[in-house]
Amino acid sequence: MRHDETAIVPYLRGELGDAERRAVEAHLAACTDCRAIADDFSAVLATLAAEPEPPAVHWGAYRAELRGKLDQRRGRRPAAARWWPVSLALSGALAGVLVFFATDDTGREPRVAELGPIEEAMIGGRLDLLRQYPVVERLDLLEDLEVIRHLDGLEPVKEG
Amino acid sequence: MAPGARAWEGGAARIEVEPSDETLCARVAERDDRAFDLLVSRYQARAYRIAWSIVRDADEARDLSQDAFLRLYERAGRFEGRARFSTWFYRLLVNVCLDHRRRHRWWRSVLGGGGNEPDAPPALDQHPASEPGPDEDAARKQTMTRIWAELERLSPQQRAAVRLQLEGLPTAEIAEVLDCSEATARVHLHRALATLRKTVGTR
Ligand SMILES: [Zn+2]
Repeated sequence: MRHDETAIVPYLRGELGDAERRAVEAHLAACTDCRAIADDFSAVLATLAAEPEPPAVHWGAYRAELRGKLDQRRGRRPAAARWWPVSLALSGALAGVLVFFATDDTGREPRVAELGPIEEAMIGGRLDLLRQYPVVERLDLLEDLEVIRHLDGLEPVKEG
Repeated sequence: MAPGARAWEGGAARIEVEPSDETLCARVAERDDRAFDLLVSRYQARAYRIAWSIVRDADEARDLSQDAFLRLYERAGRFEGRARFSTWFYRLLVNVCLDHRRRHRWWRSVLGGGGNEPDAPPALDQHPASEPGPDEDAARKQTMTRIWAELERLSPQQRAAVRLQLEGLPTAEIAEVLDCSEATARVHLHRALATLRKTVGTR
């Protein structure tokens, strides 16, 4: 006897073609194991249908936030292309600097002395730019920013 | 849910036709912001729900579903209309979520701990199905708590498959979204349900 257990879910969902459906029905009539599975699966499917909903979202705010992200991305495009070589060279150092900025909540003026010598050398004369967060944002560093955003305790302020 | 002819308005036989998802997507490709807003409105709840089922964190689900819409905006021109728009979009969305999971896990392992914990089971009192009696309610909560715990043990792909079937996608379409064969999609669903089977405890 061939137990095609993976056909049970599609069978229960009523999506099998005639031939396969009849084959599954015949098998279920003869096989107590598969019938037990089918009974349990249909209970699971019913329970899942009542799966909790995620926390509610204010959709107006959601779309406004999305529009902001889209605008930011559109504005960033040409700049990102221009900055690409710089961003490549600096991305590692920038990640460090951003962490530094984020941790140092007192500091508008980051203390350069506390950066490692390598970072300092890599950043070089560009520190003036890094101080201006919007400029940093314009670099194509989405990956790093995303990673940093998800580090514990470094989460930037998020509107509710 | 399916777009199409909307309603007959008044006595005059004026048909108001809502543009299909596919039409809106073509307009998005031409940078029509109004079309983009409409598509977002149509899909926002589903996108958020699907993302939440995969990452199980409300803030991340919000961000990731928005990322999927941004990707949609950028790639609308690549939609060729061979699949349905919904299938194509869900694929974008699921990929965004699965990529995020992979990256997140990698960074967590590098940095040691940290990262968001998944949401606790949502307060079930907030959405009672149909005013059940106290016993029935308690039993339902218990089953839901168990199923929530078991869902955590599924792979993100399996959770995605489970959510997509809840959204009413046939297995063939789930396969397209997950970029696998239909046989593999069946296996994902079967394994997911085999894991969740313990929670119903009929025997
Ligand atoms: Zn069997």
